[in-house]
Amino acid sequence: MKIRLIGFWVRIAFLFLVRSGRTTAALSFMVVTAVAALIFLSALAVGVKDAMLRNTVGLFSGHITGYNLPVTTRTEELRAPGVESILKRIYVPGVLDHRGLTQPITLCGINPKQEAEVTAFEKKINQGRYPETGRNEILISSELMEIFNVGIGDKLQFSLRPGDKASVFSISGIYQSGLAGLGRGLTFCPLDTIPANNAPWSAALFLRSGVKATNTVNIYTQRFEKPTRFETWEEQMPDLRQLIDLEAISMVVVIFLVFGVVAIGIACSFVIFIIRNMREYGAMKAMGVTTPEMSLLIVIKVTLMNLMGCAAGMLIGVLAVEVVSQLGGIDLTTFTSHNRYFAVSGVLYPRLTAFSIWAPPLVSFVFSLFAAMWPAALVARKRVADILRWI
Amino acid sequence: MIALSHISKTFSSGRGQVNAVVDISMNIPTGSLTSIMGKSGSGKSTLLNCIGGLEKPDKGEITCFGTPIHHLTARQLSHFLRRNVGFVFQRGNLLSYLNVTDNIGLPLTLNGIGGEKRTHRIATLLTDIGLENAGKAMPHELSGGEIQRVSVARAVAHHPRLLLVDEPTANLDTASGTQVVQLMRNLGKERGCTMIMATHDLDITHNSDMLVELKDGQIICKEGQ
Repeated sequence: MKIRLIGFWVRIAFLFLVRSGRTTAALSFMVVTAVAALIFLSALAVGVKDAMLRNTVGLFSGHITGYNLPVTTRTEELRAPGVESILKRIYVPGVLDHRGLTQPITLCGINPKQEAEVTAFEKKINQGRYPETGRNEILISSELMEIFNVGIGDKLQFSLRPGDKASVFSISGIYQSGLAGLGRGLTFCPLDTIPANNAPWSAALFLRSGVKATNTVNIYTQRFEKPTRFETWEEQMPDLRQLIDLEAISMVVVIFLVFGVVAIGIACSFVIFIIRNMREYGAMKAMGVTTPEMSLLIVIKVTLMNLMGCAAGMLIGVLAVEVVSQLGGIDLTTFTSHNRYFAVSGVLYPRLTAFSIWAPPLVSFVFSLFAAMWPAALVARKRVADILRWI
Repeated sequence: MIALSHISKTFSSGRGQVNAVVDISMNIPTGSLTSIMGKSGSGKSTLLNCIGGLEKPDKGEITCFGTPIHHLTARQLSHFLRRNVGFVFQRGNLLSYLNVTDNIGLPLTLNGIGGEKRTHRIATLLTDIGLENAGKAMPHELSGGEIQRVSVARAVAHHPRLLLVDEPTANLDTASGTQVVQLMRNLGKERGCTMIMATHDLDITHNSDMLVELKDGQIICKEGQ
C-alpha cells in the first residue's frame, strides 16, 4: 500500500460520507447519542461523587482531621498549599446533668462563626442556632433533648467527671445529623467557654477542589511530631472511598457496554450499506485497488463517521451538563433523604472532568475500529467476479 | 499478445456442475479488437473475467503481454490490473459518490498520475466523450448512455494495454449503444489498446479484428486472424 495514496483514500472516504448524507447521518446518530449520553452520565457520576463528599466531608469532619495538636500550636501553623480552611476544635469527654439525670457525652469546643461559614452542619440545626462566642451556650442533639426532655433556653450542667465542679450551659440549639457518628453524645459549645480549654486540640482541614488529601497529610507529617497525627477522609471513611471507586468502575463498565452495542450497530449498518454498494467495491477491485487499500478505505470511512459523531456528541453532552448545572442541578432529595451520604442535600450537579469528556469518544473511537473490521473483511474476502456475478 | 491455452472453468451451483468455459485456446494479437459473441450463459463473461484475471481458470494458462497472470499473487494481480487493464462493465459501475471528473480520475490517481497531467487528461477525455460540461455532475444525474461514456473514459484514462468490455450496450437504446461502442473503439485505437468485448449484440461487432462465438462454454465459430 502506497503512503502517497492515504490522503486520496481519506478524500474518497470523506466524499462517500458527505454524499451519502442521509446514511451517514443515520449511522452517526447512534454515535452522537451514545457519546452525548455517556458524557452526561459520566458527569453525573462525578456529580454524585461530589455530592457524597460534600455531604460527608463538608458536613463536619473536613478532608483531613488533625489529632492531638499541642495547646501551643496556632491554627496558622497548619497553613499549607491547597488548604482552604482550618477549624479548631477541642474535644472533652464528660457528663451532662439535668435535674439529676446524667448522660456521658463529648463536649466539642468550636468557633461557631467559622463553623457556620465552612461546614454545612448549620443545616442540621432544626431548632435554635449555634451557640454564641463568649456565652455559656450549647448545641445538643435531638436524642439528648428527648432524654433530658428539655428545650431551647433550658439549662444543663457539664462536669468532667461525676461529682466535679460543673459548668452551666444554656441550650441555644438542637441538631439532628442523621449520622451515627455525629449524634447523641456530641455536644457543642464555644471554644472560649469549654472547660479544660488547655487540652490538646483537633483540627478539621478543608481543602480546595482537586487537592489530594494524602499530599497535604505528608506535609503535616513532616511538620509535626507524634503524638500529633493526621488522617484523610479516605482513612476515616473507607466505605465512602469504596463507594466512589465502585461508582467509577460501574461507569467504565457502562461505557464499554454501551459502545459494544453501538459498535455492533455500526458494524451491522455498514455491512448492510456495503452489501448494497458491493458492485462499486467490485469495480474498484477490478481497477486494481488492493485488499489492504479497500480495507483501509472502509476503516477510514467508519473512523471519519465516528469522529464526526463524536464531535457532535461531545458538543451536545457538554452543553447538556452545563445547562443542567446552571439550572440548579438534579434534585434527588426524595430518593436520598435517608441516605447518610446525602445527609445535607440530595441535589446533584453534573461536573465535567477530563475523563467524562474524553473517555466516551475515545472508547467510541477504539470500538469503531473493531466495528470496521467486519465490513472490511467482507469486502476483502469477496472476489471481483463473484461480486459482479452476484449482484 | 494475449495467449489462452486450454482454459476451462467449472462452477458448482444448485443445478450441479456448470461448465462455463471448456478447453478454450486462442491468441489475441496486441492492438486488436476481439468480440466474444454468444447467448446468455454461453460463458463469454466468464472467459472475459479469466482473461482479465478476475476469475481463475480451473485448467489452462493465460499469458497477458508476457505475464502469466494466474501465477501472480493477489497483490501482484491488483497492480497488474491497475497498470495494464481497463474494464467497461454492463452497468457502468461508476462510484455513486464521486462526480464524473473524480470517477475518470480514479485510475489516474491509483497509477500516480496527478497534478496538471491528470487535469489535462480528464479534460481531454471529457471532450472526447462529449461531456465537457458535465465534469461536476454526479452519476445519478447522467443518462444511461452518458454513464457508459464516462465508464469508457474511466477505463482508458490511464492508457491500459488491455480494455475488457462486458455487454456495453445491454442497458442502452440502439443509438446510445452504437455511440458508446464507436467511442470505445476510437479511444481504444488511439491508445493502442487490445480490446476484448463480450456481447450478444451482433450489430456492434462489425469492424472487429476477430469474432469468437461461444456456446456452452466452447468456441463454435471463430472468424478473423
